[in-house]
Amino acid sequence: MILILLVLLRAIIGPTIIDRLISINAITSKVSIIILLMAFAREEYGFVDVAFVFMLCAFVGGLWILKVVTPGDWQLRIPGLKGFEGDGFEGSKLGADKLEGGRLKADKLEGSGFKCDEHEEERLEMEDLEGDKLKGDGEEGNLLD
Amino acid sequence: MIKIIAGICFFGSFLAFGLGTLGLYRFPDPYTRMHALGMGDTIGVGLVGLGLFLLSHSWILRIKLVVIVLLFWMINPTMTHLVAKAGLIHGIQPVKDTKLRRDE
Repeated sequence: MILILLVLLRAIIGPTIIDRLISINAITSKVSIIILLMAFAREEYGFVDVAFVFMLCAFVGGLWILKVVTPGDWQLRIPGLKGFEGDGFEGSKLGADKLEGGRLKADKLEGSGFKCDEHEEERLEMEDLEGDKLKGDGEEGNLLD
Repeated sequence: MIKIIAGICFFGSFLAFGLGTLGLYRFPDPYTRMHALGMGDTIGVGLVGLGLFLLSHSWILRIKLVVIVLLFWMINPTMTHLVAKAGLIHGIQPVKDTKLRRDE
């Protein structure tokens, strides 16, 4: 369809990163639908399975891109907004000292857009503060550069 | 008759995809764009699945189509939710007068 090209254009000109992510998600869903339609139009019904596997692979790929792109933990904190203040890590098994560090890191992350310099500073500060304990998180943020 | 109903379903799905893409261009903010695209994709895949369900001639194909549509209806909202949460963690601001916007 022609719509894929339009969505691809949004993926190219999209101002933020989540525009690009959601455009890629839409493109994969449209491609799997086109595979389905082609399977029925050409009467080769094995391609239904191809569309199925393509959709699952697109989902796993999207999750992996999100995990690489997003730094730190997945706890959402917005100070001053009720319900999003994020007191404590429910469901994560970090120790008490790591908890303090993680909260500090996430507080610094807020408002910082996608600039490499701030991430670099923050990573250095984190390593100063916590020693080697959070090195894994720091290296995960390093992929952004 | 069945072919006409399937054609109506395909046209409706094309309309839904087109409206989702139009929303992707017209909305002011990544989150609203994401909402438009999620709704359009969900209803479009559902209608295509319904049309192909009517057109298919064996039950194994129908079962496969139902599995595909149900799985897509689980996957697409999950993906939209995760992308929106990643955007909030990154600090991408929503449009003005939103509850989640932080003016600093």
